[in-house]
Amino acid sequence: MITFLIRRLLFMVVTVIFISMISFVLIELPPGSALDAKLQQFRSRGLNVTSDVVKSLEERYGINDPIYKKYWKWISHAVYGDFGQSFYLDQPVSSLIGSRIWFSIGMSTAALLFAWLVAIPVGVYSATHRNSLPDYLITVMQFLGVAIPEFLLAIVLMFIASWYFGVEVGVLYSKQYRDAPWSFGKLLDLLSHLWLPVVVIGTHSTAWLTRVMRANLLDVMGAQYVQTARSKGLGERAVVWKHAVRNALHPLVMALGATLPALISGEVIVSIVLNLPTTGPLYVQALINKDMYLAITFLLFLSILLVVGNLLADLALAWLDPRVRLE
Amino acid sequence: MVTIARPPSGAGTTTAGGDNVIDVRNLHVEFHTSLGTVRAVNGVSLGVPRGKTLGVVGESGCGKSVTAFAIMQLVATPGVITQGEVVLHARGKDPVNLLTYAKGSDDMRAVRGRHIGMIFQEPMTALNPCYTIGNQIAEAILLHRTKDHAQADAMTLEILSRVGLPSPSRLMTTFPHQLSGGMRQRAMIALALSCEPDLLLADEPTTALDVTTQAQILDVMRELQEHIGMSIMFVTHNLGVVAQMCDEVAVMYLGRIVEQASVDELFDSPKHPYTRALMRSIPQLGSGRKGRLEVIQGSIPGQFSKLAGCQFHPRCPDAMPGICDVKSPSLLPSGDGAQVSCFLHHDPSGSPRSPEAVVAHAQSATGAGGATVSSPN
Repeated sequence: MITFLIRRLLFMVVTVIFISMISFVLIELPPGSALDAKLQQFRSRGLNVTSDVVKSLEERYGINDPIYKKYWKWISHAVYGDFGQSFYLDQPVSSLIGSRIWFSIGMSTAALLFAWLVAIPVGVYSATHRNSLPDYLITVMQFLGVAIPEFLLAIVLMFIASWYFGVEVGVLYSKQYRDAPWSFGKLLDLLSHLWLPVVVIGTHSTAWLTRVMRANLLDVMGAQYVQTARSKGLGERAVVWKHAVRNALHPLVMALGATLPALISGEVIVSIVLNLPTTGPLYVQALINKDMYLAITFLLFLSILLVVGNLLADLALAWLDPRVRLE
Repeated sequence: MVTIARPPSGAGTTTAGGDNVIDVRNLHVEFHTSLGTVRAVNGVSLGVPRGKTLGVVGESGCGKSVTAFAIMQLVATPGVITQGEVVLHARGKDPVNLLTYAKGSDDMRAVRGRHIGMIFQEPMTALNPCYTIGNQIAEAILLHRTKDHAQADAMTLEILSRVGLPSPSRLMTTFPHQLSGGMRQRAMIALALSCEPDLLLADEPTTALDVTTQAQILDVMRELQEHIGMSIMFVTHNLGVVAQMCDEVAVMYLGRIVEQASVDELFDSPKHPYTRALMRSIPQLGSGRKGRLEVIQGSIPGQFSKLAGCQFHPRCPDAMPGICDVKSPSLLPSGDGAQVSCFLHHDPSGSPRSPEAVVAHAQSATGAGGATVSSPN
């Protein structure tokens, strides 16, 4: 198990390095650079930018360096926590991301928990009450949940929340807590604002996971060992939850690797619509402005999140199913 | 006629009115599907004598497994038990009709595993892959015998060593996928017998195993039967296994019992034409390889079809036009404690035909080419 873990960790590092290279090249590919946007900024302020100035700036920022040189410059500092400077915002990338990434991680995790906590019981109910009216209703909801675009759901829920319930939307804290130091009250306040984005981000995954859970459980309920469990004299609840659900969770955990990217991209869209201070809107801005180092650092962190998430999914699977445990 | 070696057994026991562990009377199970209703079990009556083994034989789809599941009230949806009685005579308890219990009731659950155990055809899938053997057996013991975990573990160890599994203490923490098919079936038997039930329902427990393992499993079952003093209802389509294992045999065809007799009687003088055809279709050593194996003519009617008269008459070499295709025979005693459901042995009013008449009819039928199977050699 230990050697398995070490091997997996090594593979993860290699994977992240490859991802960083590929995304670096991809971000570099379109013509133009962050400097162009910067110069545009200067010109619009009425500053006269001569070609000499442009040249010296290009040299200073290494705009015309070959790509491997740029990559090396960035990655060799990145390992020490220096991810470079955002051209556009004139701030170190690490502080820009550091203040926001925890919200993103927190929100994705919360959305994941929400999806699982809803999908598993609903899926189990749906499967054990197959072809009943509630099952049909759940199925309809599932298709709606999968079909509805996140930005639309965000707008509709935002409208309902502020119009009917008077909830302040588009912020994470109420006014009195906005600049207050961390306290229990602030945490509660954060949670009361967080549910809306979490529901919006999680809806798609919830609907999909419910569907998967239902199908898996229906499969497993036909298995011989479920009849064995019944023939022992176990009650239906123990049969379903102890013997069937655990086996039906298997594909769900394996799907975790696929759920995570969906949640993260969902978070980007929802955060833009709800104007939340997460990494999402900043990331899109960085791509639009060709803010090289900011964009690539985001990608790096997202890929680290993904490989870590996949490792956690594998560990969860090993805990769940003895057949995948390594001797 | 049939040369299958079998251990000598005692005098043929009757089921009617005898000391039975379970009496199934006029059981009907229907499956309501969108295509129509399938009458999988259509008026089955049988009894399992105490301490003995009843074999239930018949071809695939004749309802033998469904009968076993119906006794446990574990018929899979959309199957429904529509009629009948399943009377359990558990040791030290009053007889009770299990069908008066609701399917998921505590009363029914107290019977499952405790008074009636069950083992299945596929040992590979009968145990839950997520839990250890020890956990799965102890679970049943904790339900019915003790609430103390240490005691349950001790009982689990004991039953595991009884089924002849090597190093039972290691098996406590072993998962099913780490065992071979034969070992899994032993573990399954240990599970089913962990609460020392009055009756074991064995649903083709050796079908998926190779012959050597099959013999070992049968040995284990016989040994434990003696030790616990339980009865076995052995569902199979293997007549060789029946000859080895069973005291009584019930032959099923299309959801009905066509003949029930002691194993000696059944093999020595099968009465129902279907049983006789089954006996002829057993391959025999020394019959030469050129000889063709006899088969039963025709095939089982479709599951939705409704047949007038005796269900076997379209395939029966001895069918009597005007009788067998009109009236439905019922299971009636026919000499020597056997019961048979056939108009060759009873006339439609229910009075038995004389043996001479039966023989005469059988001879005339064969003479007229009723059985159109080429004889060996």
